[in-house]
Amino acid sequence: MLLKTMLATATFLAVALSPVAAQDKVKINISGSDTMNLLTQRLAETYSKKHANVEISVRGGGSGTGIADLLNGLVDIAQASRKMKEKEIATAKENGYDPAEYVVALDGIAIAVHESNPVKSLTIGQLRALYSGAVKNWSEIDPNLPSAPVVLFSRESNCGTYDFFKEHVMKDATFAPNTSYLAATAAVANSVTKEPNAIGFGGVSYFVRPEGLRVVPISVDKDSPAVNPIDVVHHHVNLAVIQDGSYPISRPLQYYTPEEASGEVKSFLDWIISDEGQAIVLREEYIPLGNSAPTSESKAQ
Amino acid sequence: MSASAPPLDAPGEKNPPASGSPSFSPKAVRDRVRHSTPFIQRLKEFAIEKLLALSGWLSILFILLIFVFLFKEGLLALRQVESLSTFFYSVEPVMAYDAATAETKIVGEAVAYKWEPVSTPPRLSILPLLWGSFGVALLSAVLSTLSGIAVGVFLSEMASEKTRNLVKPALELLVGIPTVVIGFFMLTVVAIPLKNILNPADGTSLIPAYQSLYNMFVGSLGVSVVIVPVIASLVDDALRAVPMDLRAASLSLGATRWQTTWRVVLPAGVSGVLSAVILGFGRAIGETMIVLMCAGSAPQISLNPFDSTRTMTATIAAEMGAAQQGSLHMHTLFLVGAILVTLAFFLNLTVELIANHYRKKIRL
Amino acid sequence: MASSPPELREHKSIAGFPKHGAPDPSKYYVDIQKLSVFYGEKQALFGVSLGVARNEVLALIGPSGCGKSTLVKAVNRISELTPNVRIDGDIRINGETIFGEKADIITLRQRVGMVFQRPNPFPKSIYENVVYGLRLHGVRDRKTLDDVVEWALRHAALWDEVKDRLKTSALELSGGQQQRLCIARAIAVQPDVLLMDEPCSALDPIATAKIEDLILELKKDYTILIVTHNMQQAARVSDYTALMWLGKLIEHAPTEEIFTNPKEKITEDYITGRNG
Ligand SMILES: Nc1ncnc2c1ncn2[C@@H]1O[C@H](COP(=O)(O)OP(=O)(O)OP(=O)(O)O)[C@@H](O)[C@H]1O
Ligand SMILES: [Mg+2]
Repeated sequence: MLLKTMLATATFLAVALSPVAAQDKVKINISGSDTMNLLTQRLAETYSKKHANVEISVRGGGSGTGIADLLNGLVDIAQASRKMKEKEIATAKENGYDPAEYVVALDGIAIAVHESNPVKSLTIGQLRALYSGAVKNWSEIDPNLPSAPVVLFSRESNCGTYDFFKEHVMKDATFAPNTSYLAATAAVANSVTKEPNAIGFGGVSYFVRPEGLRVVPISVDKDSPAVNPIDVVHHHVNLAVIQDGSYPISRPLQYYTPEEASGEVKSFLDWIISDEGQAIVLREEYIPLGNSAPTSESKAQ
Repeated sequence: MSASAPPLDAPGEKNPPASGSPSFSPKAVRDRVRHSTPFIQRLKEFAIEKLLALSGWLSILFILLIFVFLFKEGLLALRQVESLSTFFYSVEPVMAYDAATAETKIVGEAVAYKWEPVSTPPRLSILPLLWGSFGVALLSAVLSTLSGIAVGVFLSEMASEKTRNLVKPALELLVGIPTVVIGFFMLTVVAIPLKNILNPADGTSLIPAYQSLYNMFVGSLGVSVVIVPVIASLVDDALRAVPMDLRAASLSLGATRWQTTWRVVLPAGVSGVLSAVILGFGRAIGETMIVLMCAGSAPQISLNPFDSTRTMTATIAAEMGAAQQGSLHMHTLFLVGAILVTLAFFLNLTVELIANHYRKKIRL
Repeated sequence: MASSPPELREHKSIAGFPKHGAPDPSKYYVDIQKLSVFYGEKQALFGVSLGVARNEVLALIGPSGCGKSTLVKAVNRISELTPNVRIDGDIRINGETIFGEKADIITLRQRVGMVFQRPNPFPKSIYENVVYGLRLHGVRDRKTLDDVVEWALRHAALWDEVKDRLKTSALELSGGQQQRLCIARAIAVQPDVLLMDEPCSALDPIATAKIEDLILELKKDYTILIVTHNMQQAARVSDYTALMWLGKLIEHAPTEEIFTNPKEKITEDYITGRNG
């Protein structure tokens, strides 16, 4: 709270004291999901190059942080790798906002293991077994796997990836107590490359060029085919399986605005959905919105 | 000093400097001293005194405000829960894996100590966090107390002036290194070789329990890097405050240097040494970045010091930014903060009491 | 008074060779030869040669800052504690040099006890203060320790005052009592030379008289160097007196001679109180 107050004060001061020359510039403040940070930064850079009157500042902190900032009126856009929660929407209403949602891209959660781990594929149920601690040794999943204790890595609870994983994989289970929570997907990827018995998860785009680790194909259940979100031959995201939703752990990435977007913010959002914007999405190894984006449609409602 | 300048009010006296009599007039000086303390001087004195008092009171006020704020926010958490047990344990489903269907199902319920603040309902057992903080602090204390005291004793009792002038600034520099740098160093340079040495993959393990790359031990090692110099420096100061006379007395009775240190200097400086150790412990409890980076951040209660762990400080640092304002999660983080401040308070109180106790006893 | 406990009076060689093979001792038991002491750049003693014969008392007198403490501290090499101190010349005890390469500083200090200018009891009990030196050398036997404590405290004229509170902290004693405790502590290890640096400067006349009696008594067994600013004391307790001045030895003669018929003008002025 203190932090927030300080931030608010700082923002206020920054705005109040910014030089006169900047006054005719429109400022768009964005904060939120760390997974989306890189993408938003690229988008902002390109956009403000073309629109000299717009200045866009992008901050991470996690989806929760972004939404909290939005509800406190600190930002114009919150980037979130998860949907706003009922509670958050309620708070927004209390604060006099009516947040609008804009899906800008898609993402998938990749499950990664050490490159030496021979595991071929995992079901959602097996993932849940591993992360809830029901299974503590790799050989319990498959006798062909090494008899070694599972080392679990997760993102910190302040990020959309965590929420998404908890909702779609863990369901009513809680994480095993020995789960290590790391502050960034890069840290997860890094740790998995160093721990032979590790398993970790994070945004697909972090695992396009896996070095020292392997992305595991995931299936909904035992009878469904396992799907790999990465095209391991060509080192890019397996666009099709995410756009058509056949990869079980994929999700939309969205922006929230306090109200229906208008003015410069709206132009920015429109531009992102345009071919030009989506090309950047693709280039940054996120997943562009296809003609049909069932994952996003089904959840956006 | 010229003899030609006669003193002001003793014209009659002969006054060659060589004779040893003063070349100034005692009376003039006396008048000056007694009658002319200028008003400005007094004002200055007054202002300085009040300014110092003010800054003293301000710092006390500031600390009080922190206390009040933390407790006010933290205690709100108590009101937000139905039962205080929320802060200690929760009843969780027991999951079992069915290899035939590759599914994981609930098979029962059990008490669990979980810190999983972002879930419905939030799991907010502070026990694993307390465990982590005390575990790291105790382990760091074990790792650093002896070496810290040893270095302090070396500096104060054995080292030549030259060595000391080299080592002491080096130690102070070490204390001054931002802990995030030490954390980063442990994370990238130390953690992996350490595990490879203590539990190599080829099965010739020294410590089979060493499974996690980032764990309480690595964290404590990093924290020790910070507190060894803290303890060493404080011990050095404490021992150097022991009067030289006592060392001379001991040596003059035929004691060796080591006997003198062990039998006289250390006992005489024991309050300082104890204070140093407790302050080191407090520093370890309060340490944030190192444990956040390389202790593994797993909120679990495990007796194995080579398991990952999560401390109160690391939790606050990792979660405060994203916790929703007014939420139970945020207030619980404040509660954890209040616990930390209370701990710090009592540790400092202990230091003060110990110091007082020995000060009376030893009257140094 | 009881004489010293027997088993504690064996004399090890300081210089590392057996006593009987030692070179013929000079007439002085403690023989200071051309001693110069420097504190960094500053020279505090200028080639002082001086000695004390066995079982005699030498009083060192002279104005403040003339180097008396410096001289005394050189005899048990405690001056080496001071950083940047440099010593030239030689000191022999019973004919053995104390500065030789083989010289054993521990043995030297066991044999040359010292009482400091300011009382410096350890922050321990009275009892533990007295037995400190014995414990260092592994004496554990309770009876011996008790006997030594009583013997040493009696000799230091402190026994009657403290016999009921031997376990209380030495720091609760008055300054004068503390000084007598330090004397007891020094004699408890049975040295054969005793260095006393103004031992009575903090004592009242009664305690001073007691210490003076003690010195006369100890003389039977010890060789004593005592620094004092008190002329009467020097006259009362010493066999020889040496006057020092600005780091130099001015006169060294039998006490009676110094006080009745000094050869040097400085000495005469000093002892009659006309200078310094
Ligand atoms: N540690 C030291 N460092 C530098 N100079 C010293 C030191 N100790 C003594 N001196 C100097 O050496 C000289 C002799 O000092 P010393 O203490 O031997 O005098 P003293 O005769 O014992 O005087 P007093 O009667 O006051 O005890 C003095 O000039 C003093 O300033
Ligand atoms: Mg002196």
